[in-house]
Amino acid sequence: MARFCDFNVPYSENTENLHQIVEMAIKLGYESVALNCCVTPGTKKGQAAVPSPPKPVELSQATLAPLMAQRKTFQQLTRLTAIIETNEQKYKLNPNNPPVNTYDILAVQPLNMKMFEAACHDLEVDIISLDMTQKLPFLLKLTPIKRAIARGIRFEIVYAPAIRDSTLRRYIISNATDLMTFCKGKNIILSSQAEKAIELRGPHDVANLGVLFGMNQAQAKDAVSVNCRAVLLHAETRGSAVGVISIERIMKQTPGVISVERIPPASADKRTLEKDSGEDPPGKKPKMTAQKKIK
Amino acid sequence: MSLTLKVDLSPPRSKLVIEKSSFDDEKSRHRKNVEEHYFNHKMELFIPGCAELPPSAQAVFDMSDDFYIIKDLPLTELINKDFIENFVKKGSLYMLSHNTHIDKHNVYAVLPTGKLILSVHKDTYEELGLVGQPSQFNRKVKRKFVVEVDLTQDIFVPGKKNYERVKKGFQRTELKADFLLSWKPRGTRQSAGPVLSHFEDSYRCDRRSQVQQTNKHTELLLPVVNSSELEESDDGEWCTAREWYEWLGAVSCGINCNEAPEHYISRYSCPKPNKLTATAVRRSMTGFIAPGRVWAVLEAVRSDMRDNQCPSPWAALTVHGFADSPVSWARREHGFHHGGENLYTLLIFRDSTYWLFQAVGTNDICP
Repeated sequence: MARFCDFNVPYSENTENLHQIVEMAIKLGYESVALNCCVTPGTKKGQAAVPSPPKPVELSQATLAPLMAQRKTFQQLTRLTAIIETNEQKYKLNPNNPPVNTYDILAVQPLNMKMFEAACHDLEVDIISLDMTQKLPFLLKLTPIKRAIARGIRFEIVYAPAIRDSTLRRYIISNATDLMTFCKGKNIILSSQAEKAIELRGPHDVANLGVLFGMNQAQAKDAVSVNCRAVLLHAETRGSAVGVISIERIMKQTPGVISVERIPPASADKRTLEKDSGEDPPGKKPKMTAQKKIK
Repeated sequence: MSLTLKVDLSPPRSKLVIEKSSFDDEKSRHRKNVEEHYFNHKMELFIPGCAELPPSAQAVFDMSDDFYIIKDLPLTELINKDFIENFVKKGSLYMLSHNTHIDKHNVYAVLPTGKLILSVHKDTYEELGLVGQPSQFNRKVKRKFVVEVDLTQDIFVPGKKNYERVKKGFQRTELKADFLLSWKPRGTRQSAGPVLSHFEDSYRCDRRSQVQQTNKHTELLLPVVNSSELEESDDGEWCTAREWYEWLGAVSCGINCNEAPEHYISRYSCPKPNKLTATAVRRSMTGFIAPGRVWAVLEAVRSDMRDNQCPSPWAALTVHGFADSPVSWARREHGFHHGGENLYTLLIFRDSTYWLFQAVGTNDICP
């Protein structure tokens, strides 16, 4: 619930480094991180288009102790960022492709105008990430951005490259302010893309950075907390017609009753909403709280 | 491109209200200010010119005043009939949920006026099914709601619609939290024992005492203040109230203000004009402090000044509230943006006049 999140911790095979980054994130006050696998969907035959999701980093009791004292849990999620340039790569991102569905969050990085428009209008993704460290290969336009906001897709701005290099800093600020003119501070998430623990910054500092990009105080704080939670909810309802249901998974299994489990999105008929299968276990009903259309 | 971007780089706003009055003035609001600031986390008394606290003040600080932490208490316990009859209605009960951040989690509090305040998220609010107001901060996006349940009402009894509705809401959402609890029974010199025995059987209770700390300063530069003038003087004879307050904050944080302004680490210096004093004492108490204790300290300091037990020209009493409390003073809503301060300072002069500083953060209503 509005916990501070960092949704872009690049996943690498170097577990020692990754462990340090996650530990630093906990120390700084983040309660949720997403390990990001950045891939170009492969076209080779016999090879899965995207790799399978990484396993969460193992954290010792000592690291988690301060969080446990406050009765909070640390959430590690998996995220896929697909860099797409051609239509072929775009089609690999459909939900029918098994590895794609196993990631918690799906993000896309379009490299040209056509892909950007496709991402804003059609693609079933949660985050659109633009490479802000260089001059954008296409001009940002209001119509696709408005459409993306209406569909509930968030735009991501990363800040770690700004820490690494002053030229990148200039590009990031310039591109971020450009993006702000169109989306007016809504639907933005700020994340790190930190390759080393030292490149992480505390959530309040990141929110201040958001103010620098052009958001107001409330929006900037949302960019690190509430908008990230909205991304997770959007990811849960990805593929269904309209995200209006928040379903709580029931873990207990009573004998003689079919357990209620998450139904993969119905790819055939997009209009059917997710429904439960089987009977409700006695005494515990799935909590369905109707919410407003998730934006 | 016709779209323009306005970048507002001003820092998050915080508010400071300074007023001066006399304790003997009947319209003075000092009593109301102390008694309506329900949840106090830290109280600090600073007296320049004394090596130790004067006797009455020392006596008040020495009186042990413990509070309890009750773990995993469900909210249904707070609407228990016995609980309401024996504790809420028979004294001042202060309860605040522990380790819950007001901007991230749900926060619950019981005010001594008998109101149960729930500051909940939209999801919880919709599940709870009770009527509440959206938070006064960030009004455009209705994300946090404040629900108020009046526990002292005559119609709030089991069997009546309102009670049953609240009970069902709590049972449905299964809300629970750790609570800080302090109970001051009305009238008789009863101890707070009964409230502990009420909860002890079913829940884990911890008894905690306030943490006390004494700091002694030597050779400290004190700004000169004139009790009747808050603003700047023409001849530079006294410091403004704001300069004095900033200086007091520096002393509380342990910053050495005696150094020359060109010092590398801190360029802060004591505002001019100032006087050197040989000693000063700073006594603080941290925990969960009831307003009654703050009032006792205030009265003790005043009586010490009247009896000449304390040779200093003034004394400063600072009280900090909880950063995650849902209310600041009385029923004013309190929030946390990048800081959750809600504190006040009473600068008490020898001639029974005082200055009152009330400071709140960004997501706060001006006191």
